Amino acid sequence: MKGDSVIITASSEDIAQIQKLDKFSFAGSVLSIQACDPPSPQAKESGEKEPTVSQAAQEAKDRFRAILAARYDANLKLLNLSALALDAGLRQMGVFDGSTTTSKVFPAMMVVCDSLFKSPQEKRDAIVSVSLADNELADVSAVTTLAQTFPDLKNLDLSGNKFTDIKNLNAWRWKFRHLENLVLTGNPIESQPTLKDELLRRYPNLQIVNGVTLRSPEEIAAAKAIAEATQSPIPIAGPDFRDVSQVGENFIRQFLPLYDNDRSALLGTFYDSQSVYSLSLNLTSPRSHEHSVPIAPWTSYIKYSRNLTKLTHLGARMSRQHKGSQAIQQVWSALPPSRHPELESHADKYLIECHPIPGLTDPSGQSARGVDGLIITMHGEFEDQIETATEKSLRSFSRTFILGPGAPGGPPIRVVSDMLTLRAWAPLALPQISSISPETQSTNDPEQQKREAITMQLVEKTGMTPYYANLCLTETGWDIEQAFIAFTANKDKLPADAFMPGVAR
Amino acid sequence: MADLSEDTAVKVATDAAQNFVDTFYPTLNNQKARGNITSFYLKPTLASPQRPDITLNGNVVSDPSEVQKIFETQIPKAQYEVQSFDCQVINPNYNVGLDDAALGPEKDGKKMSIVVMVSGGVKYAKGGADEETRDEGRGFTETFVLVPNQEAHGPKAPRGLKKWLIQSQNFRLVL
Repeated sequence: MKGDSVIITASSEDIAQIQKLDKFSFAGSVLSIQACDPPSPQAKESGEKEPTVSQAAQEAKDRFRAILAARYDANLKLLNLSALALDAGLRQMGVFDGSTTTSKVFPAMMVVCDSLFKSPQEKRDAIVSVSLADNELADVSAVTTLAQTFPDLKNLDLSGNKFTDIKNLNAWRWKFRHLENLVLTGNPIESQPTLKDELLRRYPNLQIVNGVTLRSPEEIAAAKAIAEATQSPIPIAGPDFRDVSQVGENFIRQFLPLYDNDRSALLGTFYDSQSVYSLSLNLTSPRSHEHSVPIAPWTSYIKYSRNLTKLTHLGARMSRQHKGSQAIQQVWSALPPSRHPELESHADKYLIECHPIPGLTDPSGQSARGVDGLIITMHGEFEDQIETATEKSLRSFSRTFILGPGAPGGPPIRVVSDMLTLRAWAPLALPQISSISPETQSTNDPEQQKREAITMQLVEKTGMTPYYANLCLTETGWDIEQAFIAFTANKDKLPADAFMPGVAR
Repeated sequence: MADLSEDTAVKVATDAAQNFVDTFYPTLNNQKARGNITSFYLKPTLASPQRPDITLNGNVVSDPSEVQKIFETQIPKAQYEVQSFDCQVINPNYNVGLDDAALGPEKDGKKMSIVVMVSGGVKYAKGGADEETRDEGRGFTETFVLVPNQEAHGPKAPRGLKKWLIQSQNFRLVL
């Protein structure tokens, strides 16, 4: 934000949408919205005056590239941007020399940096450390774009600058969520007694400040677990899966691969003319600072969204629920293909709960009081499978199914109701096993305490993580002997992350 | 008697769901209103002994009064925000616990069971006032099955009773 202006970065499709707000009144002022020079390669495609501009731009770009290449150490994965003012090449271009172009050169250099990588992953792999040492910086305003270009940096050297107060770093207050090592030596701020505590508070993964190790990764993990647990006054337990004759389990095991690979077959297996499907989008779901991956556009989904907080007219409320396999097929064939993580090997990506419910319509018409069924709620994630897309489009979802006995001549088990809600991807809050943090052991529920004790016994016996031990016990009715038998039988199929680090399998 | 039409069913169900989320979450958010939490749940009777099925974060809660107690004693302050919800009719003629005489179809949508799925955010305040919270908030998904409140549908029903009650509730923090 600069003065009355807010500068935002958006994709070209979004820019068109945002520009529709130009000249709108907001809070008493008239908004003026303009597209700025797109720093993207697409800019070249349009406009006739472009050649002269892009020629100069191309020249600058080439010079930046040469400078960046000279300052990159592939072995250390370090981009050394120290003492930029002494760089002959950059001096020619006017970086940090007090001229009006100063504020533009660094961001431009970051844009060039960005363009050198095909994906965020490639960038993360190539550069884990950046040095901005000896740049006479009194605050980070001139270099704030570093955080956009390298959000996942692990090591950052800011030594030999002129920072006097933690406030000078405020523009990066919520950035660099993966930062592990920060150097601030040779700054006036170095002598502030509260500095280290404040930095540890700001950067959840920070371990080393000015070369001194302040906390270990294990301590960080434990602190996170405590924070998570205390942030939920209702303890987060493992899934409550009360199945009947494995109907729910069998359904989920078939549903996931079929939904990804053959939606018509899925409809033929579990849906009939009375099955109802609807989809709703939550576009304002909370996200985690630590996992701020870009949100894939919702374009393919939005026209089907039956979010009733937004959709108030009866006509729309009716047309956005889809009854019968045929109507559902039409929607499913228009939605992007999907890829859900494999259930067996990625159990930690799901939370699936299930319990019986009474009073479903009896499709055979025999019981006026209805028949029993199951309600299943599944939370997880999937990826759109679009061939042209360069970036992964992970999405988080919750899906509720109501299952009941099928009509004569139809599928034996039918989906009565299928409701899907989608939100921006964020990692699933997994069950916390309280034995890792003393704070949560204060639970008053004796049953819970007993379960925790059994979980820890199984952890010791098998080397599985508490989470997997809990899963195993949940499936075997909290009988430790049964759980151990189940473990022995399935040991070879368990993923590596089912075991505590350093355990020989 | 004519059967329940599709548009009546959708109208009654979506209105019921809307009214439910508009009253249930404010009751959780307002510490003074939490004494009313149990009034949202189906009450077992001799004729219809079925209890509501409640699971919060994977913990089975045996009784609505337990839910109320959790909110009154374990949760100093909470702010639930409904960001999205959707609903569907499960059974247009939900007959669980009804007399034989009342089993027939009904055209006004008063006998439906309804599934409601809510996606939203929640912020829990910690006990200590000096605590600096990051306050990013957490995400939740909550699924309910609502069924008719028989007491509110009879000819002599007192006014002001909730028309729909929770038969099943499944809450999960998903972030």
